[in-house]
Amino acid sequence: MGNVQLTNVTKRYSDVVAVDGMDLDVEDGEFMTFVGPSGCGKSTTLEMVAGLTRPSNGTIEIDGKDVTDLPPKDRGIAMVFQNIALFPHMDVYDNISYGLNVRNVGKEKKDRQVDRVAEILQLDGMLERMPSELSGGQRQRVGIGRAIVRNPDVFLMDEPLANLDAKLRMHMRTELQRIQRDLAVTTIYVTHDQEEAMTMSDRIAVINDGELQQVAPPLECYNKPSNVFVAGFIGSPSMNFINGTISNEAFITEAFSIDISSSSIRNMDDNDAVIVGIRPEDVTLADAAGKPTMSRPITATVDVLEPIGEQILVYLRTEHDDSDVTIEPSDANEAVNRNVSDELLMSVDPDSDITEEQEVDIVFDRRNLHFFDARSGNAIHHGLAPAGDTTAETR
Amino acid sequence: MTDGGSAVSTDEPTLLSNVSDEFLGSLLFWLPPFLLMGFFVYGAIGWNFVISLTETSGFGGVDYSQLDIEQYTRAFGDPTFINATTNTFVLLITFTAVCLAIGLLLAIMMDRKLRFDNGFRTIYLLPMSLSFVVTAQFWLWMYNYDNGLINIIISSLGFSKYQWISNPDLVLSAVIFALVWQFSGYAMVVYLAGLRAIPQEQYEAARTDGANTLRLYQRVIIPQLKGATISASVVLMVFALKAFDFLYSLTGSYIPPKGSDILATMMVRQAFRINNQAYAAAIGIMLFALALAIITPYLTYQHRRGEL
Repeated sequence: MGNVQLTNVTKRYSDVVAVDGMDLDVEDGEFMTFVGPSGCGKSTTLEMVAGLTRPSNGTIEIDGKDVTDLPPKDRGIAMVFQNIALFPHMDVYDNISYGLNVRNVGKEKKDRQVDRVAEILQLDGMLERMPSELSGGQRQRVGIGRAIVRNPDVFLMDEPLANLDAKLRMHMRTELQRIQRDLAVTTIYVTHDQEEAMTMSDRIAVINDGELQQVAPPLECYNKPSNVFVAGFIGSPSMNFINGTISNEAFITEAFSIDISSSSIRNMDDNDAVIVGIRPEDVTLADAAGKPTMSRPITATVDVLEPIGEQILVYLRTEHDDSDVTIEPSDANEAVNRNVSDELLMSVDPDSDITEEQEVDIVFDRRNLHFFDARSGNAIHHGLAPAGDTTAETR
Repeated sequence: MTDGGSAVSTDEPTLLSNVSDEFLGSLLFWLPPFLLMGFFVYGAIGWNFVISLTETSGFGGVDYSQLDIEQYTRAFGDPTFINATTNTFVLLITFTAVCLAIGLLLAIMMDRKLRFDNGFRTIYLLPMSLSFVVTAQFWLWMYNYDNGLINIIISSLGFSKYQWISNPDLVLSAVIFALVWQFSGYAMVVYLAGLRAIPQEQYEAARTDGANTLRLYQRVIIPQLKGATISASVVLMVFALKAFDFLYSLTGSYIPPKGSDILATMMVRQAFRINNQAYAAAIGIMLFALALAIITPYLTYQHRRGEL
């Protein structure tokens, strides 16, 4: 049993704030992933939960017990590391049983527990090998074995798959999920890979600049990102962001406008500077019919094509790119502005006969448009009703 | 290789001719040092061995007519030789062990994110850069009966003064202490490099597993310093065998302070003071064998690890 509760946890290094007032509740048995760019404070947070780093402020509770000042060994946690950190001079058995040795567990019980772990991780028959004789995947499994052998309340994993090659990483991902589900142990998993976060987690905590951006199930982060950062970070390729203003119930840029009268959106008034986000997969070539769920066609020029197998990424220039920027950079939140680019990315089927420098008409899927406040970057509204349909939508 | 001339007619003439081309081309580079090393080092060792089988002493030429191992049997019956051998081993083992222990301790302290660690590293390593002659002179002053710092300190603590150099029971320990002062910094640097190569995560892993500091070092860290220990001890032992300079400088003669005679000082004394050239050569060969006994396992170890 182990829920983890962080209350106002802060870590300061002389003049840098690595983690800033983090409040988070990880439920018992939950698979929680901390995701964010490198240096965002996710690993520092994990180290504070582990007891390897002391928070400057705030409290950490595990299973209702305040562990803020306890050493790692008294917290009921076990950790898996990025470079695995197996002890190179010990064989697999000794590596897995190290934590038991330290606790003076009897030989018989130790054998039993190591055997159980070896079975779970399919390491039987390898107990006498040295780490140098193992493959990357086997080594990582030993690293996980070392963590689960002690029956901890909470697993902490710091980018455990980052050093593995792509194929093995996919395999270990499912493996880890299976182990976590079977053991039903609370897990905090740190990664910078949003895809890993999306596929494995019960909930994702998106962190940037030491602050929590959004804590939600993966699909909610994807479909209803709470701000521009989350919208840009979750999902690959990244979401497109377009600067514009609100005027006469429409979102207006120099190049095009989108009618928003169908949805009554609160908190959005005339002349508000707004960023619209649209994922590349929700940008499509306009066909003759013109469905009501789509925006009116916009003319754009194909800049670069990137075929990646199951789809082609198309970089587009809209006609009035240069005058596109409607808010001064200094005016806007820096993190917000970073995301706004002049190019529009679209993904199309690999059999589309599209060529570079071709002029195309594109449409946006109105249901998947995201509106953000240009100054704060916070989400205002997700999704528009089909044009002409005025039924109210939920935020 | 006897029919090397027919190589041209074999199936892979290009490969073989390439090899011999390379062999001939590179000859210019490796042959001169090969010959010089062969003659002056290994040739000289061989010649020395031959001399050790004769009975040469005093002035005049070497008589090669009768070769036997008499000098070696003589050595094992000679109490001076037995005493020098004992001292050599005591010096070798105590000096190396103490140096490694102090070096390890210093390295662990330095590795724990000490302030000014670069400064400390230089300070600890500095004595090694001094010549034996300088350190010997320096420690002569330190060990001086009347004015030496050591005696001043212990008499201020209420103990009686000691004759550090002229007391045969104390002199070897005094010499070992001085040599440890000079070389423990070296052991520290080697260990520190070893410690820095251990990823931080291993410490964290052991700590989350519940190990305390002592247990962490005992079971996880120190066993991984095996390579550092081996290379540092080889270098230290070789230095111990060369302690001749230090002992020579203590008295400025071939007779070191009583109680501190080692094989190297005995060898030089036999050769150049007593003119027992053959006997000295025999001692030299045994010293050489000792050095080989130390270095061979190390080279084998390195070779097995593929570093040689």
